[in-house]
Amino acid sequence: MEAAKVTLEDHMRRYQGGDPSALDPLYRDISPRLKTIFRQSGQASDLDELVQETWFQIHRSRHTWRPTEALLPWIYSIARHVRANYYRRTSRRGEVELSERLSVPPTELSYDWEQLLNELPESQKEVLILMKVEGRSIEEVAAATGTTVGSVKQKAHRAYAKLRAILGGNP
Amino acid sequence: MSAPFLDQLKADTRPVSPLRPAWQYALGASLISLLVVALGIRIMGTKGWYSLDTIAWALLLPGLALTLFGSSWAAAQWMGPTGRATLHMALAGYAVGLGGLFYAGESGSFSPWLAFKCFLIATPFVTVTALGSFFLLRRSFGPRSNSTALAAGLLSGTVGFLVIQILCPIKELGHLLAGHGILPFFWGFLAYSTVKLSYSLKSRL
Repeated sequence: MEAAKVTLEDHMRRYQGGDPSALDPLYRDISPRLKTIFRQSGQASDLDELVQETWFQIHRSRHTWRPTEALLPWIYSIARHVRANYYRRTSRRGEVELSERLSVPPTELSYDWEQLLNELPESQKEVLILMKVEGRSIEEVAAATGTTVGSVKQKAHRAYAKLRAILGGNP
Repeated sequence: MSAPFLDQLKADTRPVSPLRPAWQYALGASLISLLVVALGIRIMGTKGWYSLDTIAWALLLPGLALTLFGSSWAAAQWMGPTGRATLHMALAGYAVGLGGLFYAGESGSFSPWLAFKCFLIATPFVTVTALGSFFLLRRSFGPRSNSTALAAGLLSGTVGFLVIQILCPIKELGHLLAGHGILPFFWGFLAYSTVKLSYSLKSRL
């Protein structure tokens, strides 16, 4: 007989209940996802610091996760707040303006995903990362980013249009 | 795969009880507000209530109910990192309430002293509502405490509005709009500052 699959939510419930051993499986599963998000958002240099800060925030706020809700959107929301604080603290977004990049002939553009994503506004970039890198559904992305399903669709649509404009010159 | 800070976290894994559903906090915040208003009626009577006609109250009450519900709901949602809310509904309710005041107003001479008196009378009730809101919402998600305090401020401002409107029988238009219509913003700011300060003190303890 196959054993019942233990989910992230099960570990989180144990963590809320005061079981320190629940932290290890949570850390193993969630940290790579956080790294992906922060790396794709252009914070590769402070990756470890951001992941660590997110874990401290998760720990401090663990009572705000309701066992009836999915865990990952809750985690992503916390990561968003950590990233926003990071921006405020450092004030060095380092983003290249889209208009500057569009003035470069398409043949000279690097099609590196990370560079391309950095051309997008933060909110659109976040939606694309969650949907295409993390494989989240539109509903999960909406919950994680604190917006509506319609808003997520709109941001994704605009992001695709901008990427098309950069790659092919057609808006 | 592990990290040194995990040991630090593991050393502090005391059990925590998760937040209750948002609607329970919204209901709690609304009940605290209504209790404070009932206390105001009990202490000061309802002279202002009787001075207004049915149409004025028919405009005021839905507006105030919307503001009260909208701000309670927003505060409850902002307790967690994933909850979505805006204050549009609360502000729309406030605009409807202002319409009711405008309808009820009569010509006369505006007295700043009477407006200040209204401010002084309702301020203790606003402060009680703000502290009650903080007590109810004290386990909010830290980075969102500013938004929660904002919603609690709007809720408390609405209570100030209700208390003073029920008590004060003056129907002079300038007094109604400046004294009863604008003062809630001062009360809201006062309550917001009280709740913010409480969060700040709590995080330092």
